[in-house]
Amino acid sequence: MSQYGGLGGLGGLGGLGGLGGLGGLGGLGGLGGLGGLGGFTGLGGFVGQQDPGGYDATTTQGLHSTAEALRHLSEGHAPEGNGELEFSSAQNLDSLAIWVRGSLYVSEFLSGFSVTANPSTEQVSIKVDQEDVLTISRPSAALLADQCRFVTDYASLRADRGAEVISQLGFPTPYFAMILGLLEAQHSKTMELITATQVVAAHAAMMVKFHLAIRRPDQLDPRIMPMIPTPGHGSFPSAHATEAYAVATVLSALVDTWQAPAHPDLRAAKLSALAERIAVNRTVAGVHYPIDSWAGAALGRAVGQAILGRAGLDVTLMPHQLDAQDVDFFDADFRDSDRAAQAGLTEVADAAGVRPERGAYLRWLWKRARAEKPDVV
Amino acid sequence: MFASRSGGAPDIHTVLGPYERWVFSQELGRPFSFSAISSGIAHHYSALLDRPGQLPSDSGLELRVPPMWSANPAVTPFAMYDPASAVDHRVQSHDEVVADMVGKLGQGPFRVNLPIDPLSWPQTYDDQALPDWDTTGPPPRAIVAVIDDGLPFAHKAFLNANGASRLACCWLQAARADDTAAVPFGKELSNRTIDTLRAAYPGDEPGLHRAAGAIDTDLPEMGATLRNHSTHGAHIMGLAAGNAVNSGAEGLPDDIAIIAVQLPNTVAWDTSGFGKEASMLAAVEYVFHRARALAQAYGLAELPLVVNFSYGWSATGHDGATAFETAVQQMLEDRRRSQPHTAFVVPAGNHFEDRMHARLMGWSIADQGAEIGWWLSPDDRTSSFLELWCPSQADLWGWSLIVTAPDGLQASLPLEGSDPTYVEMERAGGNIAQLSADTRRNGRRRVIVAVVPTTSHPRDPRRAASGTWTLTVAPGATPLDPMASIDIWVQRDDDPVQLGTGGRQSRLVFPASLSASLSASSAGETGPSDGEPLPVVRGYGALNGIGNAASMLRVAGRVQTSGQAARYSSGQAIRQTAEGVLSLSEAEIGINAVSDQGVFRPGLPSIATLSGGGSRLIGTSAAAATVTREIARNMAAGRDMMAGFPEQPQRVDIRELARLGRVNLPVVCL
Repeated sequence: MSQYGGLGGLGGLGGLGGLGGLGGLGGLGGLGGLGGLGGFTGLGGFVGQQDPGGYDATTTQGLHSTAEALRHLSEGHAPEGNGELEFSSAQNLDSLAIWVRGSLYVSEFLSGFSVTANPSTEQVSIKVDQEDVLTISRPSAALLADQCRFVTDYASLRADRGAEVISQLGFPTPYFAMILGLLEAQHSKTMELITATQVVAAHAAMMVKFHLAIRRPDQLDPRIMPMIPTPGHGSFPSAHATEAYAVATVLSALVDTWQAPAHPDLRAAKLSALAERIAVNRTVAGVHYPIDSWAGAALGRAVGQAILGRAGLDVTLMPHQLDAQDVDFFDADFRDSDRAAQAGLTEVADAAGVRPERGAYLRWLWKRARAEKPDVV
Repeated sequence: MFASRSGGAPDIHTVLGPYERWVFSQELGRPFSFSAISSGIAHHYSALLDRPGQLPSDSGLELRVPPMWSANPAVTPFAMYDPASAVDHRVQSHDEVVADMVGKLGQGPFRVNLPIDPLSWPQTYDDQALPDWDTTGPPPRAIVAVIDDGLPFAHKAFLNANGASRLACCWLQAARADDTAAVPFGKELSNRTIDTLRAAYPGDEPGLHRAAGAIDTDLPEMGATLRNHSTHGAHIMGLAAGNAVNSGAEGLPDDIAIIAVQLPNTVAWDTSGFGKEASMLAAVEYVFHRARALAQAYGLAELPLVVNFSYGWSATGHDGATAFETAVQQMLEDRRRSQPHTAFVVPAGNHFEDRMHARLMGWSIADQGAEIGWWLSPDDRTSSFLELWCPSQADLWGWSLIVTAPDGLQASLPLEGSDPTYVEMERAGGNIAQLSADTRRNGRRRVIVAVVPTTSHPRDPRRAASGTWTLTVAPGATPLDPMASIDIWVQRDDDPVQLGTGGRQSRLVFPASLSASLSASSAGETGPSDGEPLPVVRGYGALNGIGNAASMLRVAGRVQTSGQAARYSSGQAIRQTAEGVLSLSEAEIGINAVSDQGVFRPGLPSIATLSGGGSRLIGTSAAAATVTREIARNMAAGRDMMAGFPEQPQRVDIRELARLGRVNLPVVCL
């Protein structure tokens, strides 16, 4: 009687042995690393990546019978150590599944990230390493009502942008990959950096949204009928804008470090323009006001900079304040301090700025991504 | 603000009109113009002398007039090159270069259109030369002329029974020039050249197109248009003059010759109207000139001629008084004196449902004025243009137009005043809009509102607010005649894929408070009269803006299976009394033809760019081409031009007449 006896009843499946050839498909598991992962945001970007799960019943039974057959070759030998792993070392990160590293990135980022709500002012303060980096005021009901006209106007772009809206329901990694010519075979850690940034940014956005508690435009204005499901969380700030601006911030720094691919300045300009387009596409879809993009862009830029600081770059976050005004969202305005001020986004005067603490995991990831500088193969 | 120039050139608005001022001036619309204008300063231009008379001989410019049929043209198209400006580095801005050239021409008015690529400028232009015809074939009995884009001139559909080209000649206006040419710019191919090319490239039409210079990727105005599976020009020329199974049309006899002109890509695809007329009018003069020369080569008098002109734009006065219409009208009248069988076929236009036209009847304008909305789309990367036309004879003293942007920016323009009057709308020192009022050929006062894009542009950060702009027509001392009207047309502003302009269509909204993007079309009434008054924003009167000359034949589209007007087919203008009584006004629909074979089989079939291929095109352009074809058949058979096109006496309803006219063309494509 074997020690795996409980599975013995599966022996009857032996006749399926001919299907064994399908085992080759297991190799597709590696594609999990692509990160696009249809439709999932939040933690979804890392869920299951490189998690082996369990084998199918036939393989499990086959392994069992093979183990039974080969076991006699090692019978009588004692266990032997082949060297201990290094204690608390980033060197061990290589051997972890992507999803496990994902947990570490998120926890490392959030360890110094906090969101606090002030009920009397209806403001939310976002802190990195105990220092304010962004304060966002809750928009008034009148402002939201005014913003609805933009949402109705932007609906006219749905015919043009429908494919973008649908394929950006999840993380829009392929769009960033297009601009930098990234491919999985050469840039797996860069892809992982993008996913880590998106996941972290999504968490940050959810923490802020919760306190501000802003209704979606379709709940205010019956003329607005979204072309996609209205997400189950608040409107302001836009998580898509947060993620896109965080990724654009991180990738712009990476391109600057790489000085590649060709025309790094134009690539950075396109990253910024892409972040705008991803954000605005959510207004086109009917689920966000332009002010959501303003808040998301400001939050995303802070998150991206904080990630760069954790990654070991010399970064100083200048604290900002957002009292959203009734304007449309444009990347050119966001990047221009005068025009941003007209939209209600101002830098806090005389602030020293925040230099985020370094983190072991994100620093490791950054170094790996940095080593993936696009070169001629 | 528009600062006066100090470089010695006249200010552009003293020698040219509001469109040129906007398009060529850096602080106005130049950064958002076609790349031919925004990418650099040119020294070769197409242009018009917008009056009868001769061009000066002492301007110091090199002036080239295309082959002219007209002895005393109402308007003269020409091309100009200023060797001095090409080496004068003191002149910095585009508008100064253009104004300087026009200043040297002296007495105007002139119009300057798009630049001409120096590569398509032959060193020597022999305006007396003629094509090297091969006249060994049967003498022609009629001529079909096609003016269009991407023309597959060597396609099998245009060969006669002996395998020789039925195209007598073809002018590729933007092709790379030979050293010497019989055309002022571009290249002319004769039937002999086409036959020689066909013999040299058997079974290789793409190779033939490259060898002929019809595919030339060094020249943006030529480009690789003919590499497309199909082009507008291929479809239209196939329907108007081709013999191929694809269209299902009865064959045309070999004694119908073809003359073709391929316009520069920007001229063909531009939808805003700026920059087209010189090339187009040059094409029409060329067609008439070569038609006469071809007849003479066979020892014949002027032959019957039908010109297919499947082009247009949307904002003009719609009174037949543009430079192009005025010139073509005089040419048609003159030619019909020697050859009555002369026809000029234009499509009615495809804007019935697009909310691009509004009519404010005099009786409807209250003491406090009338308000109408102009909705500008978000993410429009090109300028938007609107034209407002006042009635002739009106006393406009004290009348004004107040323009209010969604962000509160506001300006007022007197409708009466000096000619022209300009007002700029500014924000943070940058011009957001240009308002102008000028007096046109027929004495009507025209207002143009030109607005910068609604999204940031890499070349210029100025940006207009998207959303509904309010236009308030404020009355003066004397009210309008109750049955006179103020008419508004919006210039077409879509994005032809090949140009990649990023244009987005603006539209009119009445009342201005209506939500523009989500409201149902207010212009899309299609059926016969239902007793309801006409909406202010309407497709009646949204005809092709350069197809209103009296002698042009306007073609509407109908659905073959229902017999009703195609949804998009623009309608004739209608006047409406305060009591709701309707009457037709202005240019009428001459004929309708099938443009959709059915609701579920939209469009018409025709050829593609390469022999054997097929394509479909939806719109009144295709309907017009079938009318051209059947008129040519009548002409060649010696019948009346409109023989066999039945009148519809039962059609008496005003709205139906405005959509379909009184005559139906029988089904052409089976």
